[in-house]
Amino acid sequence: MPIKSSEITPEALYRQRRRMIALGLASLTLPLTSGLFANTKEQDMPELGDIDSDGQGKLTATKLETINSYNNYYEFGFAKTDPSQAAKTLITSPWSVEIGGEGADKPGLYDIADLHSEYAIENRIYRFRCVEAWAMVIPWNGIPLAKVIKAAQPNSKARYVRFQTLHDTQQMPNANWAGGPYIEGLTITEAIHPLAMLATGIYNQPLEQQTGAPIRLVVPWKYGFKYAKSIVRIDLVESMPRNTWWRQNPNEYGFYANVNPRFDHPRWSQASERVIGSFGRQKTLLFNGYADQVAYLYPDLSDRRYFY
Amino acid sequence: MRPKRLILAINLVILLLLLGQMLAAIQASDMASELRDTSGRWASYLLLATMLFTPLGYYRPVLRRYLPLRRHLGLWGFALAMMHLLIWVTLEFGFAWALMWQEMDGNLFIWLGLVALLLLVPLALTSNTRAMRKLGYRNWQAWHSLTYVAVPLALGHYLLAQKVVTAEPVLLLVVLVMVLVWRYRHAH
Ligand code: HEM
Repeated sequence: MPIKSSEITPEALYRQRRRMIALGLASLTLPLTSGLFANTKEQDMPELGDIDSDGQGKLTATKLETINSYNNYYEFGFAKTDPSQAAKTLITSPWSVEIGGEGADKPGLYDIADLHSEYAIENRIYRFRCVEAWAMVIPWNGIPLAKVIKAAQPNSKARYVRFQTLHDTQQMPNANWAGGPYIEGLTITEAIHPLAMLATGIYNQPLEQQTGAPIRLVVPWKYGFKYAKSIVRIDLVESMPRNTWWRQNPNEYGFYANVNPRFDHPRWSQASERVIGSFGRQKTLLFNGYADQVAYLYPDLSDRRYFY
Repeated sequence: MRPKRLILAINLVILLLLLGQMLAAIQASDMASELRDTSGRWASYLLLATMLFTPLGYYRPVLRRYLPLRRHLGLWGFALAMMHLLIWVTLEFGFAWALMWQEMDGNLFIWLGLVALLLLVPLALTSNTRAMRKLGYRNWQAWHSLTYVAVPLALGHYLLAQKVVTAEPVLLLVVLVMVLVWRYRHAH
C-alpha cells in the first residue's frame, strides 16, 4: 500500500500546527493475510494539512478543560456536566481488556500497561462530531485499532467487532440507563481502517474518566456515540452486534452512524454543527471530513442505512 | 407579610435566582448551549407555574390574594423564552439564516417551540391592568386561555429536544395533565 504520510507527531504539534494528521503507518504494518480484508482498497492517507482543503480553514483544537467538562457518558448521568463530576470515583487502574469472540484465533487478556509497552502511542488530531450536532477538535493519543485486532489473529468468522463498556452498578450511578452494558460495533473493515484507534489519552494526558478512561474507541468519520468508552471487552464476531443506541431507538440510531449532512436525524438537522467553545455554526462535512479516506467502505452513498 | 410585599419579595427571589443560573451558565464550557437550555428550562417552570394558580386558589381561597403574581411569573417565563430564542439565533447560529432554516426544515420540536412562543406574544402584551380593562375581563380571559395551548406545546418541545426521554419534562407534563384534567372537570 502506498502511504504518503507517516509522520509521528511530536508533542509540540499541538501548539504549533494544530492541524489534522492521519497516520498511514497503521496500514503499512498490516500485512493482513486472510481473504477477509480483500476489499480493503488502496488509498492515500491525508498529508498533514490536507484536511483543511474543505475551505473551513485550519482546525483549532478544543481546549482540554472544555473536552473534559462537556461530555455524554450516560452511565454517569444525562447532563453534559454530570460525567465530569460523577465519574471521578471510577477506578481505572488496574484495567484490562479482554479480546476474544469466535473470530479471534488468539484471544487474550491485555492490561492497559501491556498495550502501552507493546505499541507505540500515536497522536492524531481529529474532528469529533456528536449526533446531537455539536463538534470539537480533539488531539488524541492512542494505538491503531488494527494492531490490536491483528494480534488477536482474526479468522474467517471475524466479520464484525463488538466493543463493550464497563458495566458496574457500584461505580456508575446510572449504569442501567440502557438496561445493560454499553455496546458498540464496527465491521471488520471499518475496524482495521487506519483512522480507527483505541485512545488512551488526550493532549498527552491520560484520558479522564468522563472522556472514557482508560481506553476508548475513536472512529472520526462516525457520530460520537460509536466511540465506546472505558472498554472492557473487544470481540471479533460473525454477526452484526446490536449497538446500544440502535437497540434504544432503532428509528433514530442504527449500526453505521457515519456523519452525513444530507441525512437528518428524525428530530433535528445534521446539516450544520455547533463548535463547542466558540459561537456560531459550521457546515457538517460528509464523513466528518474524512470522505477521501473512508467513502470506499460504503458502496452506496444514497443509502440511509449508512448514515444514522 | 402583606400580599403586595410578599409578591415583590418573590419577584426579587426569582430575579436573583435567574441571575445566579445565568452566571453559572456563562461559566460552563459550552456557554451557548448552557444559556439556551437554562433559559428554556426556567421558561418552562415559570409558564407551568402560572397554570397552578386557578386550581390552588380553588382549594385554598387565601391564595387568591396572590393572583397578581401569576402575571409576573408569566412575564418572566415569556422573557426567558424570548431570551432562549435570541440565544439560538445569535450565540448558536450567529445569524446564519440559511443554516437556521435547514435546522427548522422538517424539525417538529423547533416548530412546537416557535408556535408556543408566538402564542405567548399577545398574552405578554396584554399582561397589564390597562389592557385588561380595555379588553374587558371576559375577552381578556378568553385570550389568556391560549395558555392552555401554548404551555402544552412548549412542554412537548422540551420533551422532544432531548435525545432520550428524561424525567424532568415528563414530570412537568404530568403536572400539566393534572391541571388540564382538573380544568376540564371544573369548566362549568
Ligand atoms: C415557550 C417557548 C419555549 C420554551 C418554554 C422552550 C423550552 C425549552 C427547553 C426546556 C429545552 C430543553 C433544555 C434542556 O435540554 O435542558 C429547550 C431546548 C431547545 N429549544 Fe426551546 N423552548 C421554547 C421555544 C423555542 C424556540 C422558539 C426555539 C427556536 C426556534 C427553541 C429552540 C430550542 C433548541 C435548539 C433547544 C435545544 C435542543 C438540543 O438540546 O439540541 N425553543 N427549549
